[in-house]
Amino acid sequence: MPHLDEGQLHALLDGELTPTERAEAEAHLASCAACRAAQAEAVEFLAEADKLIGAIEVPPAEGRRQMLPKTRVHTMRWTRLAWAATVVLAVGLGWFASSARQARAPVGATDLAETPVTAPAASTMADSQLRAKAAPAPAAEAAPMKEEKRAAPMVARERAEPLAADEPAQPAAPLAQAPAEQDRPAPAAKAAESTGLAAGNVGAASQDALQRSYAPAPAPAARIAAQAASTLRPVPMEEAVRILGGSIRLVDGMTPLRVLAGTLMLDSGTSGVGVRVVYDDPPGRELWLDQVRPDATGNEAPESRGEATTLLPGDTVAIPMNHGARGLRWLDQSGFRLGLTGFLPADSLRALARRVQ
Amino acid sequence: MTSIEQLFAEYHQSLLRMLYRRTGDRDRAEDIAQEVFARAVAAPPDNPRPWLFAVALNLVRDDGRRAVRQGRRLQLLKAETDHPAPSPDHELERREMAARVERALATLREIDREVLLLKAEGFDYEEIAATTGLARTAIGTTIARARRRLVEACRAEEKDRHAAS
Repeated sequence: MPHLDEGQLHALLDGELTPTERAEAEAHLASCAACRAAQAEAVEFLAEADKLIGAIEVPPAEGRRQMLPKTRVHTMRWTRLAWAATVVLAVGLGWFASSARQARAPVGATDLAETPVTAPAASTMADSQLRAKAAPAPAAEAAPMKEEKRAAPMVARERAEPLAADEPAQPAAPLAQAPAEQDRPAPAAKAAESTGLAAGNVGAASQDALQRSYAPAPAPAARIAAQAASTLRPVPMEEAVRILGGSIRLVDGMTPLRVLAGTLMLDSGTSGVGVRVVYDDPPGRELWLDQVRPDATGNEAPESRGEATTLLPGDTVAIPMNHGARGLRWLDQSGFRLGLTGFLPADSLRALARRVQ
Repeated sequence: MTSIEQLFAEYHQSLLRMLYRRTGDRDRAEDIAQEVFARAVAAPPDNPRPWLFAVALNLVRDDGRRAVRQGRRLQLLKAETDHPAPSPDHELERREMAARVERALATLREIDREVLLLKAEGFDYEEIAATTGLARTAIGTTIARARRRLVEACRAEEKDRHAAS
């Protein structure tokens, strides 16, 4: 047998030779001093290389988000988010109740009072922010609303205490496949007729119902917040498709956990009736895809209209959010405003956003 | 089929360690690991370990090319991740050693580096071949060369350090 080469020696040491090869190699080593010397050197290189590579240890993840939250951590995160949502909701509703008594503004959101209370436990900061702004704000009143939101959180927190943030989520509505043929959004008027959700389609009766629902005197703050949380309600996929005018965007390759519909805010100051598709990311945290069709946006705060209108098809805006969440906002070629939010790194979010179809 | 949770529990630490050793940047390693698992959700692999590590190594190469163009992202993450802490002497020594090995690794050919890091994660030759695309019969030679070059590079650096001090 010829001398063993370096590769064979390392394969022998790594236990990668077949029994026959091994027997032959060992027989040769027994009779060849040069190969034994080479083997001794290989042993040395192997041991030293392993030691050297072992010296590179992953540093602790201090100051950075947890990669894989355990169930308890996961629950706590959503619990905190739910609490935060109730705080902002209570503030927003307080403003709404007072402004509703003063003015009969056109209503540009869903008929919240008529909507069953089916708030999922996993309310998010994004939810709370959009719900706080979901009430129709006449331009002249936009600034007072913002001030009140900043001024009142402590009061709101006290009122929100009784809310059970750990309530189990309502079971998600059964999901159905979106009809394959419905690729194009329907015209705005038709969609508005069919859903009754488009801006300006809520009548005076609904306004009265809103006022009744949000009047602070007869209802405890916690109940008010819970009712507002129902702004996003579970819907079957068919209804979500209808709300979006005939087509829905999904993350290719991922299975939706649930589909919600209601008023969404996709960039600061712009909200609209749309659909949220909620998924689980690989570590088991939720991520959600928001989508609002082109004709369903409204309620733009005057100071942010410029930002909203400068978002062009193909643009993607990354938005760092609280609690380690990140959001991506973009406008697709059909003019749909889309938002993907979750607890993934920006690169991962972008990769998932590219799969939105 | 293995669920994504099982994949994560089984391979994440190993993948992160390999990625950190390859990149020397924990945040980047975590980001790439997350992306790998995000892709695994979209296209669950049949043979997960070689698949996960192959995707990770591809992303490292792509990420290296993109990094220059994505200063903004790096800057964004930097704000989250800067957490310098004073280190005791032995910790300092360990870090210096790790830095030396990282520099030595950086002198190796890409394929040598990958083979070494995969072997350090317990890959057998078959899996290394499946992950890197090398022929199974070439693994022994490649890994032998990689080990020798790593050790020699470290020894050379050590020698230079002593000569300089």
